[in-house]
Amino acid sequence: MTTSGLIWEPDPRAATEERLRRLIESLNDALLLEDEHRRILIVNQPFCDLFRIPLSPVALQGADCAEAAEQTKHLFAEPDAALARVEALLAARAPVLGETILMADGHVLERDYVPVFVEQSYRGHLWRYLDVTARVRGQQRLEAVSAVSRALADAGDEEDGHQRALEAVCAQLGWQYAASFILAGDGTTLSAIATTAAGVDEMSAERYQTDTRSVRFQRGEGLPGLAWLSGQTQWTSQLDTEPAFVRKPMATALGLHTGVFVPVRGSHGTLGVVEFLGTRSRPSEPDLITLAESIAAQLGQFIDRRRAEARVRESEARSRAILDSALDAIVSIDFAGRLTEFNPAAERLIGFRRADVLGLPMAQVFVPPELREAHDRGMARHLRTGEARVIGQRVEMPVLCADGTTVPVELSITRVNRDGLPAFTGVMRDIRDRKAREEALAASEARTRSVIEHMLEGLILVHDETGVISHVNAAAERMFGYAPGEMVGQHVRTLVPEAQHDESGDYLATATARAMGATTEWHGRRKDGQTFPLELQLTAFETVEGRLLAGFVRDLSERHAVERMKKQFVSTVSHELRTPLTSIRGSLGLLATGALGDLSPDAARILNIAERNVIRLVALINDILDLERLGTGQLTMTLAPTPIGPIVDRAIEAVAATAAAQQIVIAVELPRDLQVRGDADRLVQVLVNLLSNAIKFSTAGAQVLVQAARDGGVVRVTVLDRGPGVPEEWRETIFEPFRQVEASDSRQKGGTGLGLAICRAIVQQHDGQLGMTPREGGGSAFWFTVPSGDGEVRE
Amino acid sequence: MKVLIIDDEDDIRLIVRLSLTRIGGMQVVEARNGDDGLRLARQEHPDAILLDVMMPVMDGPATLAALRADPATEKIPVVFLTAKALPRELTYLKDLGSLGVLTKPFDPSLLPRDLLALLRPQP
Repeated sequence: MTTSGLIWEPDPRAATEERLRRLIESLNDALLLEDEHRRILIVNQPFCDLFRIPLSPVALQGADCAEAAEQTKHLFAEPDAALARVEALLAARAPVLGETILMADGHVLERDYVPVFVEQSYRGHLWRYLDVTARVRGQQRLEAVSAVSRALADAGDEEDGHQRALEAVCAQLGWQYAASFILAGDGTTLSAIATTAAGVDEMSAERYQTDTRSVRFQRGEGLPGLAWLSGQTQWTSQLDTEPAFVRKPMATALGLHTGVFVPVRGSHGTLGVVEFLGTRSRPSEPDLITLAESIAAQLGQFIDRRRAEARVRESEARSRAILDSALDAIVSIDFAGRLTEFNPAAERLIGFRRADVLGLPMAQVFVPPELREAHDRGMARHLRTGEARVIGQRVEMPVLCADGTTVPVELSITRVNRDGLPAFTGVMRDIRDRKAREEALAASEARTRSVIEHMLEGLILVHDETGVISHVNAAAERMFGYAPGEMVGQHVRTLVPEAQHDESGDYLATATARAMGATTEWHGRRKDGQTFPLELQLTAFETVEGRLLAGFVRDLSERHAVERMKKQFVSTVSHELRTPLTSIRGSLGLLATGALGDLSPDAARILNIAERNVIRLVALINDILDLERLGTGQLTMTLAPTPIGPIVDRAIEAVAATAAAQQIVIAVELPRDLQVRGDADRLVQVLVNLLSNAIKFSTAGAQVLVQAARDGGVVRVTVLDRGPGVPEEWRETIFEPFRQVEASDSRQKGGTGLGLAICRAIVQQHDGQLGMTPREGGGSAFWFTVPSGDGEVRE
Repeated sequence: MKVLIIDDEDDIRLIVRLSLTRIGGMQVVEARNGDDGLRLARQEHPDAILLDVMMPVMDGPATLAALRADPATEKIPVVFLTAKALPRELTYLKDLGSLGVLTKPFDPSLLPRDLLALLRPQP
């Protein structure tokens, strides 16, 4: 109906009017034809239905439209304004097409007003109404959804998104108030994140915002809480009386009637609830509910997306922080080998700045030229076949630094997929220090190994727990007669004669206990079964393989052979040499006594020389034997508490004849009952030696003094003479074998030169000391100490 | 006083005999080995036997054991005369049942005195 007016030529014939009536009645649009006095000429059933007129169209003919309009004005959303508009149209008498009329029940009508002119004279008008609610709603919904989409797309943060969406919905759908609640904190309460008010005064907007933002809903509490609990949209047209609505004073104050509460769902459940409130009382409308739900779904998607983005951002920030703070150099490349990551540690290691190298081919940046081809080949092969020679391994390789130097690094590469394409991340660590340490360690180890291998002593390492030999050096292999490498892995028991194996089988523990930390003698078994004496020094140390025993072994076969020879020699000296000496000594002695007849004075003198020298020779042999026995410990001492007096007496008695011959007086100064702990015979020997020396070096008529006194825990025995004394340079050496102050002395004074050495050995076996100090006023004081025997029972 | 000398060395036997007879005024019979010594001991009834240690066939300790095993000689005092010089050897010889040990080389002027000192009953 786009005409500027309906030109109706009235047909006087009823048939024509009847045809028009039929036409109007058959149309689906609501039509009403009035005459110029606003009396109904024709009306159809859709019109009656639309305005809820309970009469039939026929019955309405001739009815007064102005009256009817007054009676139906409540059906309009704004009744007075609606009537006023009709009056205005009637007055203007100009066609108005497609006007939108909002009805009180929320329906939307489209209206055409067409004045009717007959021969240019106003004869009435035609009203056409069409219910376009569905169409308008659909359009509104589309617009609302699209507005919400735009709002959410433009949104900054999540809160901003909610705010913009609410505003768009209110603007499009005519709600006065809207709020978005989200699950707060630990997910136990709903609280408003955004509120909005549209088309209301500032005070009302303020009231709604304050009350709504201050309230918290538990699950099931209030209408938002109920929507959350049930997962279903809640609709009410009676907000002021609805018991579940907790903001009742606000509802009353703002004149709220209708409210819709829609759960907002995300991919992992309910995220919140969105509410739309209006002052008009509107019955539950499926369309609106669907619309609200689709908007809620949009919000849900928006929240999901934003949160996922936040998580990604957070994860990226975390990754970035890790990359930035990592001590290891971390670089990433994409499938084409271009650098996509180059962290600060990589900057420090390689010397390039991240910004300068990102996007460049990694191989060109820091792979040494000689390795680039291999790198490219390996990468191509991996991408083609998936074969990984380096990926997932820990490899050492050089990297080329910005300054042209190469640095050895340890590199591990992992493959990741980025946007569906392979990418690689490499972690590199500078191993210069480690390399240097390893080399130093290797050198040190080689040195140690060389020392061990070239040691003349055998070294055998044995695992303490198992007794298995873990290492031997060449000397040990030679000693036990094994080929290189043959001993390792065998039980240490194989190196020991079977006779020594412990019955309990706990041989190692017993032997270890005996040998640990000491030098002990054992018998070893060579590979050919031959046994040999060995000396063992055993220590233990902890290693990563457990406790190891280190045995240093020395073959004693040779030493024992030497000792046997020595013994043999001693035996020979003691018997074979002494037998002829006995004959000489005896013969000369017999001659000298004169028992075999008188000799001439010259013969007697010569005989005396021979006898004196044979006596010296016997003494020398005796002294050598003594010294030898003392040195090898064969001369065992019997240490027992014994009084010093008789020892001194016996010694003086032994030298009395010599002393008398040289007119030497021996004086004694002894405290009573002084005890020593020692071997009396041996101490007599020492004292005789010292007295003999003193007498030997004294001039005729001189005095030799023997003193003994307690000195702490020891007894000090001193022999003092007035002889020439010992020159300072000789004071230490006189105690060594075959030392006499002057070679002439021994000839002049006799003696073997072994006496003081024997004395020192004897005293040392008493844990004592032997020494000499010059005597004040000339002469010497020879002294020795022996442990005091006091406090012990006299045997 | 009659002393039996058992020693395989002719020189030593001569020196000992001269020492004991000329200086000690003793009577001496000589044997050059253990067998002869045992026979002479039974035959001569000496007052003491001076016994060498190292002798072929039957050495000093074996001879001493044989003397002690024969009632005719078991009570004759025996003194070893030996070139052995180690203290433990001397102790061993003494413990075999001899009166004592005199060592070679010896002073022939003192041998009779030292022998008598050993034969004298111990205080």
